[in-house]
Amino acid sequence: MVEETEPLKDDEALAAELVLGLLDGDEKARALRVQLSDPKFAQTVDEWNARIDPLFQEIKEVEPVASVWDGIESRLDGGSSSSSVVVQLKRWRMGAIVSGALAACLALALIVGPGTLAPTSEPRSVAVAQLTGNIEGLVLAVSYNPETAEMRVDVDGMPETDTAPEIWVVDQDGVFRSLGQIGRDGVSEMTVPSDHREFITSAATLQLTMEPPSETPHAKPTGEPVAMGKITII
Amino acid sequence: MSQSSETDRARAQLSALIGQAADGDRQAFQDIYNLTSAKLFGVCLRILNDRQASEDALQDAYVKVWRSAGRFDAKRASPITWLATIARNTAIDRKRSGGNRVMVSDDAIKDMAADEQSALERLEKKEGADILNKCLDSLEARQRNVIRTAFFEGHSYNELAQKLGTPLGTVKSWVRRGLKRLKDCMDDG
Repeated sequence: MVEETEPLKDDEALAAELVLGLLDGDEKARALRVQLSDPKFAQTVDEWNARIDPLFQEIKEVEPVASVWDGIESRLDGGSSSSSVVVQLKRWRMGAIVSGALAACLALALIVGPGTLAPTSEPRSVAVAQLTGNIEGLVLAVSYNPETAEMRVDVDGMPETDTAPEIWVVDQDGVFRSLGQIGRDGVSEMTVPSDHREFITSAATLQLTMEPPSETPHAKPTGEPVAMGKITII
Repeated sequence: MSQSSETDRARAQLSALIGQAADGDRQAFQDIYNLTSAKLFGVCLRILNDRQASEDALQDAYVKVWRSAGRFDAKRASPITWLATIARNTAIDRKRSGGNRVMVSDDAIKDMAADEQSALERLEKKEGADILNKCLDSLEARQRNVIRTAFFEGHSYNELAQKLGTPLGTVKSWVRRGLKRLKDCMDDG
């Protein structure tokens, strides 16, 4: 009989503790980071979720009042689903392109009369990205205007930590270039440093790590990314 | 139709609805809510034991579901587990951020419980519950108790140690040994 003496292997214990909700603060943040960066650990977490899942069956159903759904629905209007931010922005751009083209056609029609079409210049592009990771509910919606180099980051679902969220652009070379730290919640606006602007292309990703609070961007991240997303140019 | 193929079909349907919600389909999202909100509200109430706090947590949970529907992977988790886990974690976050004002009383929970089996409950697989319960029963009582209390009340190690008046190291040791035995027992089938 050895069953009493052997504790769980470290990763097994950490995964099970994360699943049960036993971890707090830094321990929890660390476990979530490992879950994101290590597929083997993520699978161990899934296995523990599956093991204890039947306990949910013991929880009785209780019908919530109807106003709960109304509250949820109103927050969907103001917010955005993971896929709809890009869709909405694309629609908006499309509208801008179409109305721009339409205006150009009308202007041309006034000058040369009907029957002739000239190519119209494309409106300037906007870069957008949606960052997510393994932290439930954490979503960052990013838009970037290359004309002004202004970046707007909308954060939702950031858990409490002692660290601060820092955003990085990562090009195909794999180098993390910091764009600075952002607020934990709501909208942050910042100007992208001039030497990093060229990296904001559809070949790059934006990534979020949790770093010691700092007024100035860090040279490189200390932790694994907790959220990431591909840049889309629209 | 057998129980298990009916279960599989209902799961596939719920997974499909989550997929549609990920594409921005509000009707699919509302269908998910109608099918699952009573279960998820039960989960929030179990953790928070406070109707108002649970309603707030439930709203947060479904907003998260809407926003992260694209990350649901039917190969990795059953849709109900995925949803219930989001609700449980959301309720735990709310409980911890609001301090420890709300303590769970088992009597209050029993009063809220309804006994009929709902459509959703019929959908859950009973075989898994049999194995888990058999294995939980094989643990020492104190190991079983800390694991069940952690799950149902959403306590951290520190909160458990406080609640039980037992040193943190001892509680950790009970939990880890219990989890080890649980895993061995369940892996043996």
